Amino acid sequence: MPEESHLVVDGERITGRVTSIAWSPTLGHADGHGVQRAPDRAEPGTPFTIKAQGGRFVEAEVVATPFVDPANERQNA
Amino acid sequence: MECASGASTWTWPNVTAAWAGIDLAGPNSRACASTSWNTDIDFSAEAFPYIEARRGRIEGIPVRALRVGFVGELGYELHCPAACGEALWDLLLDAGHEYGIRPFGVEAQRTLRLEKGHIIVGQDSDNLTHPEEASMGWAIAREKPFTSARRRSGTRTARRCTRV
Repeated sequence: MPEESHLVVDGERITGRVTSIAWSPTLGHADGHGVQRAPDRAEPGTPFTIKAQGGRFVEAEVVATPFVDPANERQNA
Repeated sequence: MECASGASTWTWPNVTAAWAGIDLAGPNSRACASTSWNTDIDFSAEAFPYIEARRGRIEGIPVRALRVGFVGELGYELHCPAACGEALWDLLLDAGHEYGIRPFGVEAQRTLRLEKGHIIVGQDSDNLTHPEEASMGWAIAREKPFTSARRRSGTRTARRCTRV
């Protein structure tokens, strides 16, 4: 799993970084926030690449938030 | 902090350390807060909607209750004078015993808030972040005469990356 401050890359270009990431027990995979200076790559479903520990490249996907309980049924109970 | 405004000077002392805050969260938090303790705060759904606050006392302890959802669950932040924090904590543990109440700490909070998509200012943003970039343009009152957002020209549309 990548870590905070790992870079988001597009080929040789650095386009952003991971700002928060954690393993989600609810979702069964990692979720996180990051920032990209790439307005054309913000749509949900857009793939992107993170350069993680040891230079490994991890493929990820833009997803709309919230990741859990999108209808806010739990917090609005 | 002091501020001079016309003929008035205002001073705001920092009293952060004088307050204790406890986050009561989870599906049973309303039932726990509605237990048979002596309080003038009505925690029912009808009387205490989401994103509202109440002042009152719980067993004599002055409390500011905020119905907020940083961890994405039904819950309340309960703030009281720091000297009463331990007593309020003990009251909550007693009231929540039948519901299996457990303490949860910073790491659990950070994981839960991330699942909910909430940002932490200073971690998921920096001093160059425009509110629109943090999907928080809704918080800007554009009709007011001056906001810090007006210092920026244009809007950078960088968005959060999500799901790994």
